[in-house]
Amino acid sequence: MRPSESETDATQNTMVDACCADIQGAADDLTRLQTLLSDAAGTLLGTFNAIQAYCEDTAQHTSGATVLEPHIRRAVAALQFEDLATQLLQHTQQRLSHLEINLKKFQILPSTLEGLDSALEASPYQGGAHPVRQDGMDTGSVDLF
Amino acid sequence: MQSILAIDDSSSMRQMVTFTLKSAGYTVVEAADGQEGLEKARNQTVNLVLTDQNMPRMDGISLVKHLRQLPQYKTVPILILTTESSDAMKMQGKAAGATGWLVKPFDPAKLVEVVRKVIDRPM
Repeated sequence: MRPSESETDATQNTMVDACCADIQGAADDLTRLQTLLSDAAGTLLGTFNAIQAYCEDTAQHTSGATVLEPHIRRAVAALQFEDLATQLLQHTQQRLSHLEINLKKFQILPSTLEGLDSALEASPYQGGAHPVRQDGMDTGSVDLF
Repeated sequence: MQSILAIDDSSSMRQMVTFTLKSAGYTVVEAADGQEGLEKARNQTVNLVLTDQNMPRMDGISLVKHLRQLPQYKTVPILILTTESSDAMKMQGKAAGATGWLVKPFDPAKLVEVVRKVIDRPM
């Protein structure tokens, strides 16, 4: 026996609500990840500053400056991870929000096939180009115009 | 001492840029977004501007366009330091009047080399 229209609508709405709840959960996890990253980055930066101040003081009296220089360079490059990670997280959260918007369209589908195609047409993500393409912390390119 | 205006909405990025440039002997003025950067640039003419692209209130390319409208910034080098690496974005930066496009993460020695190269280069 086929489900009634109202039963189908209810099932559909339940499914959409469940998907939206999953999306919200994922978004909450990303927010927590951002907090962890910011916390770690703050600690690392504080430590870096303290070590750097000590090294500057020590290097004035020894030849340690040349020994430390490549390590400081790598640390400065690596410490930029928070900026890249933050941008990537924000972009992902925007895409999740967009996914939620498209999913909710299923809750207002017409009860007939007429207009179904246009109702289901998902709007493409308009958040702009992906801001972070890097998949490692190798330093980036330089172009002078 | 030559001065550089460093603009980025990430405080950790501003710290790394400032540390790098101060270690190289430059004075650094910081701003957290394009609007604040524009205000600081108007109040104090610097020798070079280093700006992020993706920022709230005013992005880097918009800032470059505004700066190039100011008489005192017609020839000041403006570098964009950003995560964006697409050729299309680079061309937008060039068309806006940027002097160069650097992709994050930056190597401190390379950044200093580029700054030294452009800061005294006649445009």
